[in-house]
Amino acid sequence: MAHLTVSNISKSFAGLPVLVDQSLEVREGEFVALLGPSGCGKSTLLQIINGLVSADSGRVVLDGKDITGRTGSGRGMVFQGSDLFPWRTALENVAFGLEVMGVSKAERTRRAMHYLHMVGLDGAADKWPHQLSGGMQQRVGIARAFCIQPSLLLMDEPFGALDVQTRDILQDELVRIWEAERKMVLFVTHGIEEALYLADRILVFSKRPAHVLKEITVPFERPRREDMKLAPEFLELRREISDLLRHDIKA
Amino acid sequence: MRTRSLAVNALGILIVLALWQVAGMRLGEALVATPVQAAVSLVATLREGAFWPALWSMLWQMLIGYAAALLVGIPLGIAMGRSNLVLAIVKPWASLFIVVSAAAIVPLFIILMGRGVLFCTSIVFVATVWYVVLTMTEAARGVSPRLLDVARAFDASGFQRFRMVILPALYPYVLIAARIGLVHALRAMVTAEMFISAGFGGLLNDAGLDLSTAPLFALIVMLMLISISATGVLRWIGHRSAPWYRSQTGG
Repeated sequence: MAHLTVSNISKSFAGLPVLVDQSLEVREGEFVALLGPSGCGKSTLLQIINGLVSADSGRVVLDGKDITGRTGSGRGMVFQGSDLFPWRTALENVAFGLEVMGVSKAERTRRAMHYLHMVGLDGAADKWPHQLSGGMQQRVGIARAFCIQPSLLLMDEPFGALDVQTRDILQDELVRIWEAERKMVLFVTHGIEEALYLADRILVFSKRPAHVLKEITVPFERPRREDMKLAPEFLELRREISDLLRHDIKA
Repeated sequence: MRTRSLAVNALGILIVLALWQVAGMRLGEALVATPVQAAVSLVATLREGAFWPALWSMLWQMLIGYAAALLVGIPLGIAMGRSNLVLAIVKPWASLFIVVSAAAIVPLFIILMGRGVLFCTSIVFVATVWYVVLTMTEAARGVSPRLLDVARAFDASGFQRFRMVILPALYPYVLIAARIGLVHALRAMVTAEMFISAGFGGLLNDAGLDLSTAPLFALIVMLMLISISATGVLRWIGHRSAPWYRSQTGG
């Protein structure tokens, strides 16, 4: 059983506490959104889980294995600005993780093509990143993370830099891909609507130092549809979270 | 757009040539030969027996010193950019040597090495290597930490990050360093030859002593053409082999 347990993580930068004693769990096949104001420390929590940033204390256990402070093993990361390698074609970018693992060229090309196809970029395999639009670049970024078939997918405001229309399209794509290949997802965002639309469960974070203000189980059925964003229940939840965050920022 | 900018370039060159012609006709050949006289002299020089061997001997000696400067300068510059220890040790020397002109060290090198091939190649080497080193240092320091994080997130080892991120990121700068280095190598070579009255620099020296400005201009124009076409070839190689880089800088 795939499972992520994060316990008692604390972190300060130059004496300034960013995270104090934070814990969370993600169950198999669960999509969890970390929602909170910009700069509250939720991205830092994600990077600690990823192993890019070391925690001052606490433990990260994935599928029964203690992975605190180590990168790799079972985690795929989608970065905010997609951060593709400009000297690699779309296909080579997707295959990067497999190349690091030492997978043979034929095999990694085959698998990378599969995931490029999944994000709808069959025709762009040989394009350089600069020849792709922002939305297409982030599709490559998503395919790159899926391609190593991680049990946990970490997404750090992946659609934050995109325009609204592109973001909506990519949200739908992500839901579709994820429903086809369910894995645990931790999705950092400051968009309330985005969190409600994508996640099974939302952890609403306070301003810095981040702690969970509220845990919300999203009641909507899957597969999700664009028109549910206008349902009264959706709007009600949206307002509730919005009030919660506004109240916290003023406090 | 491109034809228009070419036309403006050509116009600029024509204006300068016209001014030169007017200045030459007023001041007389002993001071400033006109472009027409220089062109006639250029043809005569190219037909002369002494020119081609002089050019050849200059080029091959320069290329040895230049190649040595690249072989030493590129790795040293990368090491300086990626290691604070190497930077702390080498940077003060680089800053000192780079401000010393080739002409200033020629007398010392003549005393140490005489006037042979070793002397010329050594002058070229010391006059070139620091420009290559400092260009590569800056480039290596500028390698995107975010892309290095991506590689780390995909569990790339230190060596893999070097081979799969740092080296490809630096590749275009190697060609830029080669271009900058070539200009300095050529300058240093001519300076060295003028001191020892040999090769191409020797021809320049003789023309100056003869008080005949037309051959002098002809030789200078040849020098410019060599430098421009060589750097042009290097730029072309850069654009062909790293198309993603050109798109980033718009160069």
